[in-house]
Amino acid sequence: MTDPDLRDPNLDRAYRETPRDEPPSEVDERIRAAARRAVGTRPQSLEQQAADERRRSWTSRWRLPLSVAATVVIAATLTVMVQEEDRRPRDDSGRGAARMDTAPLKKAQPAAPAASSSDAAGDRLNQLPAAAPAQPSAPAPAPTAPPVQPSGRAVPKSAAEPVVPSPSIPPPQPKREERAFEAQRPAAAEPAPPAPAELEMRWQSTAPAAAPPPAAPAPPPAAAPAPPPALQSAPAPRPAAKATQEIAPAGAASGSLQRDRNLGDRPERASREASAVRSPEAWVEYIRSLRAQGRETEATAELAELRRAYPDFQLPADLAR
Amino acid sequence: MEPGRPDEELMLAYGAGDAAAFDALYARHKGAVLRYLRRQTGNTALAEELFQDVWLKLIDARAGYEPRAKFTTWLFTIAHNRLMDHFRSSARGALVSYEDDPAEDVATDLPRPDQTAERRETAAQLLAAIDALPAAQREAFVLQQEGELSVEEIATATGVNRETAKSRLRYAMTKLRATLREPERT
Repeated sequence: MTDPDLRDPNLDRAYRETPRDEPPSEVDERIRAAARRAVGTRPQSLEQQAADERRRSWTSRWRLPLSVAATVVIAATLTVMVQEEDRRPRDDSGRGAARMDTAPLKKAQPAAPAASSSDAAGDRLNQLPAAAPAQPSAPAPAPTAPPVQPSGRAVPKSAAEPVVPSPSIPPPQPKREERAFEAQRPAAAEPAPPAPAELEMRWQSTAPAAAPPPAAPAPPPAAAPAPPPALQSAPAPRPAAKATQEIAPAGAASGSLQRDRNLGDRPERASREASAVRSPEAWVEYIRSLRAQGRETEATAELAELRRAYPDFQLPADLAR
Repeated sequence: MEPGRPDEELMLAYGAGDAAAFDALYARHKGAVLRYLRRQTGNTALAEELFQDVWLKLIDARAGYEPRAKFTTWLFTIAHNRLMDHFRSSARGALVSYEDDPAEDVATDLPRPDQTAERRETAAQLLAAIDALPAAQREAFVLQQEGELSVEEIATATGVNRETAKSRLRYAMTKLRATLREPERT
């Protein structure tokens, strides 16, 4: 391939006699250092490099799918948790609202024996902080729209429309927590006003030793047995139970919710628990307050109820008469 | 030093991370590259600067190296390209155009034999004659001497066809032979 004319031994010899220039040692060091830096100080064999390449390719291949899978799992978990959380208060609010709706109906009936589910509700409200007692001074809030089911549909009037309380017993003004809740509720979905019996139970449980309300006393504790199945199953506006949850401590709220479910399922047990909760001393105080307001008939009925519930209780002298 | 291993294998080993392979390659070829640059620029400091650039380019290109040609061909291609970049950006840009070589009248530009001090200084005269060669012819000759490149490899390294490379080499050798003969005649 190489033309012999293009190679001259004399020229080659002469050229080899020319000075053999070499780069300075500092240039050598600079270039060698750059070469070492480029590949790292540790020599690496081809096998090691191939293994590193395989490892890198595995991680780069699976990084994206693993990230996506982790994101999907987290999102699904959160969704399920949120749905579960949504479902729980709705179930509870259904029972609470049904009880509130049926309470006025029960009020018209004669007082049942001391054990009642309303007392069980009082037990639930025992978890509430000792707030100011109900002060029924404002007129009953007129419901402007039928309660709305959680699904958004209006409840049939016969089942959900609150019964207007008797004029002789002004409906109590919602407590502070309830008023706060009212402000949050949309007007169209305004649920039935709280039943007097319910508020009364609340008063008993939250302020048993306090003085009776000055303006208008709360109605006597009405026996509120388990509502009819039709009402029990009727859904009620969700915020009603939500308000209860808001004013109760978190732990107490969940406990009371569980108790409430149990009580709804077993009325007798609920009555037993309720009568056990209502102390005779609180009852006595309540009867005294009734008498102080001149409501003798109710006081007498309450006294009889107290005697039935606590036959061995030694009545104070002023009530023993 | 790794005397038994071919250049191409050493370069592949360096691309795989073997720094010692680079040291061996560098030791083998550093002088040839520097002398090539020194002959082409005529300036030692500039040659050293370009010399560093050439080896840094080789370091950067290690991962993409494929032994499709002789290693020295690839190395001197890098050196040639760096040299051309320098000429383009400098006042000697005209030298980039090797096509303008005044090939036939070079003999008149060669130093006269009587300009050399002593016959013992033949080597120095040769160097002077090399320096007096047109850049393209000089490059072809130096690549043949320093890089041990064939005509084809010179053509590859300098980016010309084989005939052009051959012609340049032939002209260069003719003139240099004449330079070497002159002192003998005188």
